Amino acid sequence: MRVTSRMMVEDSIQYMNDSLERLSQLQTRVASGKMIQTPADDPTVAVAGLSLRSTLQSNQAYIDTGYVVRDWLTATELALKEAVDLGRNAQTLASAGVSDTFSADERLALADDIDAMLQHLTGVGNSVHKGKYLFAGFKVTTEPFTYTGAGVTNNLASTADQMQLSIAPGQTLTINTDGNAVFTPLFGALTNVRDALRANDRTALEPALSTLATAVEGAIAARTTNGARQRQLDTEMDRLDQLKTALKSLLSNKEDANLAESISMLKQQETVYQAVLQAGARAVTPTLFDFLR
Amino acid sequence: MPSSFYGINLALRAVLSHQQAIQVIEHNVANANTPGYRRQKAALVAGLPFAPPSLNRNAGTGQMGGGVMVDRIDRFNLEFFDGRLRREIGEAKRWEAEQGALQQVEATMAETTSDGLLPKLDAFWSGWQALSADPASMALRSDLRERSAALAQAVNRRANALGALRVDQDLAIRQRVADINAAAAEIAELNVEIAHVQGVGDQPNDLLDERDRVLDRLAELAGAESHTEANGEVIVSIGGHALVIGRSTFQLNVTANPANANLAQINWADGQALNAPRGELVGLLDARDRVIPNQQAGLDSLAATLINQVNTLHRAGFGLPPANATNQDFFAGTDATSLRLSAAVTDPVTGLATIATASAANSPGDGTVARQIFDLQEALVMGGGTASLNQYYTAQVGMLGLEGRTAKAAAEDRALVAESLDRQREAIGGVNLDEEAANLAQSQRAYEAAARVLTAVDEMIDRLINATGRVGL
Repeated sequence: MRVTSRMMVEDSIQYMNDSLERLSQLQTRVASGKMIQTPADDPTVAVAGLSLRSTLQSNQAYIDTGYVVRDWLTATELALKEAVDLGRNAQTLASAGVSDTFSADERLALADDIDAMLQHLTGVGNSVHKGKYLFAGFKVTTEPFTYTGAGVTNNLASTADQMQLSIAPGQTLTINTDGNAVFTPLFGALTNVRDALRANDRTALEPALSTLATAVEGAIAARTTNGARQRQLDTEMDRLDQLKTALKSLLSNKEDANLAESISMLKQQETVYQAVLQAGARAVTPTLFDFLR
Repeated sequence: MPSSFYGINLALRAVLSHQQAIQVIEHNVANANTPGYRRQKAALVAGLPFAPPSLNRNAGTGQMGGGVMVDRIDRFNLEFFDGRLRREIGEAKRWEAEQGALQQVEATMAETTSDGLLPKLDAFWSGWQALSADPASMALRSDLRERSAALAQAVNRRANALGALRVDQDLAIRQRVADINAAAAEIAELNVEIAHVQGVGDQPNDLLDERDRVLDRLAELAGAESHTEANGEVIVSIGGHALVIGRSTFQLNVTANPANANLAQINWADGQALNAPRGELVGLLDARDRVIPNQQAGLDSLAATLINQVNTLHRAGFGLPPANATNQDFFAGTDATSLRLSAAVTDPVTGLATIATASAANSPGDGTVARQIFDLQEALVMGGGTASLNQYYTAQVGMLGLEGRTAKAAAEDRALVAESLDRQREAIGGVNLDEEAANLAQSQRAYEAAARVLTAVDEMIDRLINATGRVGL
């Protein structure tokens, strides 16, 4: 082929441009640490990256919610534990009052103890977590129980609302415990026990004690349910944590540039570019004009 | 017998011819770097033979050579290469223009950076998720409102930028149409001059170079094709409609098209629509009328679905007591450009409490509606129930990326083909300085020799006039 002077020069400019473009691409790759800069660089990787990132973010949202739920369940667990302990103490204390050897005065003293426990238990039923009543259903700003002296009244007709939260894709968990269901029997039984002791009425005391036992069983059952929820949440959060790590490494695999490889490629391209420059310098050759005279 | 001065005449013609050949070489060397220049060469031919009369023959003893003369100045070009090359550069430029527009669209979307729309959409969902766990929290409500406003702004910004990008393409299109009209006028003028020069039997080499350059440009702009007539004029057409015939041109007119957002509609002067097969114009039109509207429609559809779905759930929910706001919209607007938070939610006093999270009145701890809105993240509400909002938008970005990649690959491929054809054209018609140097040396020697012959003849005649018949003097 006939080669012309302009061809030589234009070719060497073209080579320089091409080489410089590759150099710039590699430089951007090393500087940004990313394999691709725009979706057009590799649509498959870009789309995979986008949906991975999206999954990662919603995963993080589940984890964040998980921490909130965990706090709530822990607060519930503490309150229920206290309720059960109080119930058991009351059982121990009051069963002493059944004994024949107890006098009316001693029973009165016992009744005062039980009354103190009843007040304490009202406080437990009104437990607050981050400014919200734990056992008030959806009406978290209303105090659910009031100690009146004669007994404990329910301020809310129903606390059976279920707070359901998504703790993982497709998984909801009810996090609250029905306050009325757990505490009302306890309050009733304790009031009966206290009143029977005050009245020095041994015949009323025994059935009152057996209802107290049932009420305590109810509280224990609620505590067990709550414990099961805690376990389910922990399992789910462990899984979410593992998923997060897996997603991150997957995303990094897809999108992140292998630094060692990119830098050596950059180095190599620099050498190539210098070679192209040197070759380019020779493209402007002396012509025959320089030799004829 | 020829005249005694015949030799002088012969040598003179040789001197003049070689001088002209050297001038042509000078012209080549001077234009070694001129784009589109085709090298020229003085075609030397032997002069007409001369038959001197003789005694026994009318036409003397054989024929005397008539020396040398420059018959014409040749131009090195391969006409049939031009058609192929112009088709390829038309294709290359079409994809190059489209790729340029796509790059701008991608930059506008900025989806691979942290400023993308998807992270904002995900943040919006996370906001609802967090609120569902603690619906009475004012801090979380305020956070959600900020996230939602950021999402709405991000959608608005993209919609506006796409609109602006579309107008940019339109301006570029109008510019190209003006270029085409100017080029057509130029070719018509050149046609006149070329036909005139050829008519008197000369070669308008440099005018032809100039016209080829303009034809190349027209092929880049709109894929124009040309056909050379016997008289040297070219007929230029775009997509089957004549642009230049002889000295007359058919102009392209630009009018605002009300059916297409008052963007430019290109028509021929006779009212027919321009139908360019290739060239920058096609790439720009495709970007303006297909690529960008597609993205706009996708964004609008995303925004409309988001508004509808979120509002439907939100209206059924209740805000915080005591106001227990219900039947309120969360978003206002109908498409990507008008998407914003509703006035009820942005109210500085009651706005935060208006955000509906509860399924019944007086239930500050109820996050059911917030959870339902969060669940929209996974709901297949787009594309006739085949994709979630996130998936739909991801697919949209993927499609844009694929188009960008296709355009880039096509632009590079076609440019390579065009380049190799251009190299072949250059190989025939380009100037090689070594060659010119050799030719120059050759012509110079021939010139010197001719001058020498002139001297010899001169000496001969000198002898004849000044030294003949002076025997013994």
